[in-house]
Amino acid sequence: MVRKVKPIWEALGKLDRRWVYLFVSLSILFPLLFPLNLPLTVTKHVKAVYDRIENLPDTSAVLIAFDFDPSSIPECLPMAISLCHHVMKSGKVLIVYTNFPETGPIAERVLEPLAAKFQREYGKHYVNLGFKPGNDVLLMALGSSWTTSFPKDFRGNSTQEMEIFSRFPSYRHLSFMVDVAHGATVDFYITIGLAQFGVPLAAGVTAVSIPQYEAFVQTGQLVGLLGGLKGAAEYEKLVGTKGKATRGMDAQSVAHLVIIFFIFLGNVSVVRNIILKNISAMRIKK
Amino acid sequence: MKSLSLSLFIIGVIFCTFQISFGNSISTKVQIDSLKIAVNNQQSLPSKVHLSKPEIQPLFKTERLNVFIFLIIISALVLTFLFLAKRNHSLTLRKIAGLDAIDEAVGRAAEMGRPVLFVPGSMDVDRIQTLAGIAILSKVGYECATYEVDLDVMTRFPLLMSTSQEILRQSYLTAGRPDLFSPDRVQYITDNQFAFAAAITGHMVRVKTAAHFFIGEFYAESLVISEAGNTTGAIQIAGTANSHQLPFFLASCDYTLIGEELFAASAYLSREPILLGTILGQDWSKALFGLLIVLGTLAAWFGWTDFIHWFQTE
Amino acid sequence: MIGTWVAAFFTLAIFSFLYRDNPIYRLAEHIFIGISTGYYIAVQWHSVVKPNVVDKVLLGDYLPLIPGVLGLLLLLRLIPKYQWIARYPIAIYIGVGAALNMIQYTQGFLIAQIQGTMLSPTSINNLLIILGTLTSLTYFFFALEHKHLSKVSKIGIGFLMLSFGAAYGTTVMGRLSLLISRFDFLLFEWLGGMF
Repeated sequence: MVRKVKPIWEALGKLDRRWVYLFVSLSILFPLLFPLNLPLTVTKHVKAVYDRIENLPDTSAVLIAFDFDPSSIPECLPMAISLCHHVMKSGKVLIVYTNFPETGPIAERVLEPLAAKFQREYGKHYVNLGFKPGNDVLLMALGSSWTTSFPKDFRGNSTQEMEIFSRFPSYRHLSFMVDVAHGATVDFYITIGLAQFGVPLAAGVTAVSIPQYEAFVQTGQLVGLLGGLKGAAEYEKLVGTKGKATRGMDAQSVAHLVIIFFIFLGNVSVVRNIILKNISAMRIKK
Repeated sequence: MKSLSLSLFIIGVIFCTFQISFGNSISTKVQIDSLKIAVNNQQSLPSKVHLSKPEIQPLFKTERLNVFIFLIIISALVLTFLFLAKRNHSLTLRKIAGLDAIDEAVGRAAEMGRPVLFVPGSMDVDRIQTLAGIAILSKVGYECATYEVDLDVMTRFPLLMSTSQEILRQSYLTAGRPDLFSPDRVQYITDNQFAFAAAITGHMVRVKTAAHFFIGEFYAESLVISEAGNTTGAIQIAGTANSHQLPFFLASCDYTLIGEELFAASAYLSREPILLGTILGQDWSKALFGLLIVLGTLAAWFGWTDFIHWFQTE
Repeated sequence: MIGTWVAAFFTLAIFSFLYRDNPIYRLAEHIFIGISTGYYIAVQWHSVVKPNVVDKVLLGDYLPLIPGVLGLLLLLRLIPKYQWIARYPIAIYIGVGAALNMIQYTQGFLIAQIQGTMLSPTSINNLLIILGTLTSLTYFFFALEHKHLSKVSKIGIGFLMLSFGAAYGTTVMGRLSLLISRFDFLLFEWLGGMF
């Protein structure tokens, strides 16, 4: 019996997606186990954020908003860690809060070791305010006073007696703000925090949101933009650390190449089918 | 309800535009209450009490004049076309490709004897895209009632669930089939984004729904649900104004309403003068913005910076 | 240790869906939905209702009762005879939300972006931004049939599709980041913790 062999292009067009899953998985596993140490270049948007924080006076206060939930930890947490590392290392005052209930404890776990490393005093050099609902309404209230909206911080301490809030009583007294966000919280920092209160703003967003917020960098509403795992890796390079973001870059590069390869194969199959269909249609016409 | 909504809206616009605030005295009062809570909870009083000095805000912020003028112009255009649409019933919108697909999708579900799934976005009923999605839900509900097709609606917020139930009840009544309406088919799943996506995915795969409608405001879950729906072979129609989610819908759905087509679709389907007038007013606002961009481009080319600086908002 | 094993179990359970739907995946899905719903109820009580309404009323400040009562009125939707009452808090919610959004978006998005597009057309980048914006706006013009503006709106669609392609690419990047993180956890925290 002669076995009919399916033409390769037909097979490629109907490739079982589980083969793609397998190859992508392998393309991530191998670089994680055997690092390639591919070079990493820092883009101007990330450098702009770094330079802005670096050039702030020592008496400045910087707000880092941990506006992401556990589903975005892989991309957003390395950014937040690097930013907090930079602010603490450069001696500025750091205020942290979040619009997501799950992220208060995560912020605490980030800040404690950094504070110990750089000998920063809680309540004087940094504070974690934790979670408060309200999003844009909360931000409008923060324009008047931190302590009104956050009478207690994440640890349960009264904010009234903290030195930070006697020096920087409201959002308007901040010198800079970075929103590490997985969703649309950046929107109201632009419309309220920047437009109404005049506090310069940068954003660290997941890769999905990069095209959306590039437009705001172009108009100057955002000082800079950290995008996805690569943005986090770039910032880690700038502050001189090697965290999970840097470790994931090799895997990301190889996986991208594998995906481009499959997209190419799939499109070759589709274009070939279109050409064959047109040729047979022309033959029928004749 | 409409007049209450409208009056609150107008008050809100005026207050927010000019930041009229009576916040000074309230701010101090709230700080004192915070101290009272500390005392009540038997916490030690703070050794130092800093009552932040209420900041005196001006009654009107004149640097916001450009925002006010823009709002006046847009509102005037919208109200003009609203008035015209009510008086002149021949005003229409251009046909939107993808709306014919609604009948096709429901028809296919009727042939296969399988239910239709509708997800009116992953945000709450206060979002404009959700309201547009609900308007299309009304149409889909009417079609499902007419063809006697089961319709499952999955929502991420309880308020949206109850609003959707209300809308569908009305649609089934209009179609003359109130007996077919079952409020249990409109479900509130969970607030968590990816748990919601997982539930939708599971439902599609297990129930084998024949047609999927993803119309409203979506975020990261859009890729998960549209791709999972694509694997089931169902016909999928999507629509969202979140431009960063459109690529996934375009890649895995049969028809996609791009951006503002979502709002135009709800106006096109309902033929309500209010919605029609709103879309037409927005259209001519867009034409105005295009003209401003052209003028601004010329101004930038020839160095007329005053014109461009008038649009400064910070 | 237990947390790591539980996380690894659920990670692999969800991954099993890649092969096909199975009871382990369904178990993980339902546990996830149940826990998240319960968690959010608890968070809503402890972070929203108790500090903003209950604590203040107990102190003698009765102003928060107004939004508290409005919120409770929403529950009347469950009683068919009194469903009409729930329309009032919905009206307030929608009206105030729309007003806030309208000002914020007009100022921060509309006017600022219009100003950002007012560029001198002396460079290719600027020219592309201006053309892309104007032609894309034409596609979303619903008052006239596209036959009047077909060529311009086709260019607009081209620009839109280019931007969607870029968005798709960055999203693939984002999803890969999530996968890399999960693999990192499985390899170094779960298996690495075992050995």
